[in-house]
Amino acid sequence: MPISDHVTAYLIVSALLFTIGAMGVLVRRNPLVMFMSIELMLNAVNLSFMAFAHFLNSVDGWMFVFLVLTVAAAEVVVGLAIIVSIFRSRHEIDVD
Amino acid sequence: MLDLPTVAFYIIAILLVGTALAVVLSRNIVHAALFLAVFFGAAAGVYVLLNAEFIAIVQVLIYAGAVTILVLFAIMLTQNAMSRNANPFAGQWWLAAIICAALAIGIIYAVGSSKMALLSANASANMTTAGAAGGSIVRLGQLLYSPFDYSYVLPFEIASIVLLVAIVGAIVIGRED
Amino acid sequence: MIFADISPFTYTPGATDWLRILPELILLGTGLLTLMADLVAAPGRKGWLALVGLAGVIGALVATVMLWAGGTYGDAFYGMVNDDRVALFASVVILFAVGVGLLFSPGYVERQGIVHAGEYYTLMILAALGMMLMSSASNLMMLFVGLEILSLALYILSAIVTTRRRSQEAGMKYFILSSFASAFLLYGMALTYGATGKTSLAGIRAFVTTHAFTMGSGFGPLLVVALGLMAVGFCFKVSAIPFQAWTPDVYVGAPTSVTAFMSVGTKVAAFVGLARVFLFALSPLRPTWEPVLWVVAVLTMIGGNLLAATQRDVKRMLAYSSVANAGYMMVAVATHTQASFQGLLIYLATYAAMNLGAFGVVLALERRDGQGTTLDDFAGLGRRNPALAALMALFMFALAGTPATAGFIGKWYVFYAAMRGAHVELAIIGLLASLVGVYYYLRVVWAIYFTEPATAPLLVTADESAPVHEPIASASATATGGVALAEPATATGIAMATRVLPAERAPVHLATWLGLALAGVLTLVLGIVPMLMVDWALAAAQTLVK
Repeated sequence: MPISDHVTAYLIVSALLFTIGAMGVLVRRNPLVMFMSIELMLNAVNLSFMAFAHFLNSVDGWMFVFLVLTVAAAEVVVGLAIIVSIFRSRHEIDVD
Repeated sequence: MLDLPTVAFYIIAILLVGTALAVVLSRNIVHAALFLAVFFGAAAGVYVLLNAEFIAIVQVLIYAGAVTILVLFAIMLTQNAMSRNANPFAGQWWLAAIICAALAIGIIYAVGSSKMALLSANASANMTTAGAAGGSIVRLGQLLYSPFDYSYVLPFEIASIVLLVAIVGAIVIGRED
Repeated sequence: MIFADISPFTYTPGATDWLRILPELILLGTGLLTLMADLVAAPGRKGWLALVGLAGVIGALVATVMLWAGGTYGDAFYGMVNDDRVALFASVVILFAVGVGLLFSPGYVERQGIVHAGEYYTLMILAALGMMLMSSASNLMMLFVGLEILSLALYILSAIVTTRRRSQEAGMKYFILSSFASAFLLYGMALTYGATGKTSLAGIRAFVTTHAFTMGSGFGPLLVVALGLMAVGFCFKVSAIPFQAWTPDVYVGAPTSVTAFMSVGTKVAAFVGLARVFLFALSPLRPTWEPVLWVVAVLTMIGGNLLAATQRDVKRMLAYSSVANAGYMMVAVATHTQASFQGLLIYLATYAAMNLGAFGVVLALERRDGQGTTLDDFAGLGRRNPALAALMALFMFALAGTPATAGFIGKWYVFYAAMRGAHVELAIIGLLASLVGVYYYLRVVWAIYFTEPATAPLLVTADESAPVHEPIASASATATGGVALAEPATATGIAMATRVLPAERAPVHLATWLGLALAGVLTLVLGIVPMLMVDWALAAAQTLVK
């Protein structure tokens, strides 16, 4: 059985990505980088959903991923709008 | 024994983790955004390995395409305002690193020790789509419109409200007047 | 032919499905209506949009009550939403919160110079829709979608005062930390799905009931991690310690009308969602999550009250007080009995009345620049505006838990349930923590009635070291609401503006009075004759916690 058929391998990658993203949110101070880190986390979750869906032979996980994609797109729009508008009123972006 | 999917998986996995680290650690924000684009593409590669071609395409379209472009735009619009702070990392980065490492170890341990449960659950997984033929699109469509015992049509429709809120919000926040 | 063996569309939602989400549909329609009515509304005169929204909220309220009375509750849309009595109870509280929030808005929106008034009302209504969907979710996916609708709408509402930097920073902070929490919640959902193969709450419950759960083997570790991740996500959303860091800044930075609404609405939605996941779906795993929530409850009660006690700004104090209140509600979840869940619902309803009222008074006193909410500004309010002062005193007494007010009833049911549910220690810690609460709530009452304003409202008394004309310029510029002059630059500038122009306080808007009166009456009624609400909460609790 090749390793790519092991759900564990996918889940470990997903866990690593999620924690890397979480670390990015916690240690970086630039809101745009924090925002990108959140995208990393959401993608890691999607990866988990996909792996589970594949190995459980159910498409519920796909549906979830589908929805997360939509929601993430919406969050991107709102989040970037807020960050850009702060830039317009204040010429320094930094979050502690 | 190394077969093609395994090799592909290893390459993509290393690419994913590497680009994710690069996004988090790179001091140049444009580099971070470009690494993010590579990351999104690599994630689509994993989905192909998992036989979910449709999701892979959507991933490329939305994430690698739209989201990356939006992030680059945001960087462009705010470039002059980026903090010139000497240290782009928060003071307690080591604390965060410890917490995150603990989190990663916990999840990986749980995942590793639950392997058998997952494989046995495989047999008893819900049978909604067990008989479904065809690719990922067909199975998704069935789950939406020809359900066996449940259907995701309501959240699917309600996602439009999420988008409506985002549209209204972008206009409210973005419009200058 | 690949499509040969695929069944055609077999799914059509029936009339019952639509009927069961009627309140949500009415709210959605109202949201869209306000969005369109905004087009014909003259700029600067958009207060009537709040009335349109209010009409819709009342309509949704009527529909909710009818559904309750008709008893036709249950699953709708193939197990996606479940408008059981819990959902209907939560809907009533959420609709009350958004209704009062809308009443608070016209005067405040005008005073703060919020340009996008039409969209403001739309987003408020849609946020309430998200809360209702979240509290009626019977599937993890609906839970997530509802949460995201309410979060997105609230990010925007927090940042909507584009002329005030604090508001925009609040929006950004809320956005980043809340998305962070959403990711944790989502990851928990993913692992739950992986461990059980189900996404519906009933399915998860069935799985964990029929399969033996052990911490160390099988699907156990996966589910434990999933529980932890979901707990983190929910604790962020309800602003429980140690995940409360965003709360004060966001609550203070956001427009007060939004703060009033979201401090109540998000708590209702998130706590009912938390109860659905922990008390219903994963209740067989109680020994695993109970200690965690116990610790969170204790930390939140103690920490929230101590932090609130150190605040001079009443708006900030109320933000920390909402953290402390999350702790009392967490006690109810950690106790995990039918009575404690009933207590949670009662607490949510009573908290809605008194907290909305308290923020409403702050809103009435807040000036154009977002200042004017410190204890000093409350000094002598008893003479300046007796009605407002009496209302604030009522809400403060209620939040402190005085008998014959709503606050007492909420605390009584939560702590009594904790004692009967073998969590005497939680009840005792809660009571001691609320003693601290008595101190800082009553300090506001003391300021209102027994202190005089620090300086007479005369120019002569302004700080001698500063040039006299500067505060005037600062204050009057603020009064004109210029873009660049969002906030006076220095603390002394603020203090002097306070002293120089007390007359700047606009008269309280009629709709705000109405909202305050509504909250005040409810605070008293729920405190004196709570029987009806208690019965309803019991009926609701019985449907979720067996």
